[in-house]
Amino acid sequence: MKTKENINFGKKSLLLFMILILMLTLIIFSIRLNRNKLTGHAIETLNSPNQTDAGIFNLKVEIPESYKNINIGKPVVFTAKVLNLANDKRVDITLKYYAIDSKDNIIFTKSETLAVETQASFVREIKLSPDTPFGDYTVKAEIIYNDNKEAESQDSFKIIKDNKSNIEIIFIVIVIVTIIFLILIFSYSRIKHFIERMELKSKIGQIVKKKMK
Amino acid sequence: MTSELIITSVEDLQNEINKQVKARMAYPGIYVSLNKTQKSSEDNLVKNNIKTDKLFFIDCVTSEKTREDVLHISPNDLDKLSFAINTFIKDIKGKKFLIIDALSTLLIYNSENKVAAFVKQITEFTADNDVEVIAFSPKTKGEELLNKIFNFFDKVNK
Repeated sequence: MKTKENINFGKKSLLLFMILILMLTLIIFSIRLNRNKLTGHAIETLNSPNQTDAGIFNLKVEIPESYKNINIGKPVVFTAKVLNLANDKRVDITLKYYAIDSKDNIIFTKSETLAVETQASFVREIKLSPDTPFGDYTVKAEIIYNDNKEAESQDSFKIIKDNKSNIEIIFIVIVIVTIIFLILIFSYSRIKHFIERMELKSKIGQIVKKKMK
Repeated sequence: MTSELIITSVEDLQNEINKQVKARMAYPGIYVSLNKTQKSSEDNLVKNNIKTDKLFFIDCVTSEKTREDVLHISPNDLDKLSFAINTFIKDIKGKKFLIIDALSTLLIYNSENKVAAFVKQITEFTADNDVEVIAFSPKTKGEELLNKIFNFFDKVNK
């Protein structure tokens, strides 16, 4: 009986042990899964052309499609997504962002201090001078933390010809030309009359001058 | 200076014109020819030993340009005719006269009121510029017009 009881106890212990190992496996797998989720984001960040992370922060700059091609004088809007990989406490970081032209000239720069706990997303607007020429530009942002550049990211946009303005100009020109045309039509008889009078006056002047010599 | 309307018979019209022009031969004049062509009018004057070298003709009968020193104006364009007369008056310096041969012809091409307005405009302008005006009209034509324009002239000679 004792032997049978011992066998049952051994089976129960083995089952318990197996359940324990299974639970441990699940916990470890769960932890790994969570870690992979974070790491996966970081990998995506690294693989993406407009985001990098160099340390405990990850940064992604993104210009919405509607701001990818902007008209001259219009602002460019971008979002900056900051991820604190250390994920332990709220920290103050400096977000520095630039607008750079195709020849790497910085045409706009600004920096601001932001508080980030785990992750944060910011929308910022860059107002460029109306004199800024057409062409390709880049918005570049950096995270400075403890005087070190922790992450940087960039995205590009274009300044294009203001089609709407051109249409407005064409419309104005058409209106002006039409008005001038109408004025000419309505004043044609007056102009013709005036020219005829001037010609007649000149002819009479010549006749009188010739005869009165 | 005076303005005179001479109403005469068709037969005496040319003689009367000759007489009036001859009396003013010494100084320049503007001759508005509404009845005859410039050539015909000038020939008539020359036949009667009237010098025409100081006469400025406005021919309202023909539009055919024969001479450089003659203006051709349609009789239905009273604005242009008035403008031409006024321009001649301004351009000819010194004493001058204006002959209108014959006013009633204008009625063929224009309404009475238009002709009356034209006469008023001409007599006012000539009065302001010391120009002697002699207008002719045959007796039988345009009596109603003549009644309308009598008052614009200093003298009416019937």
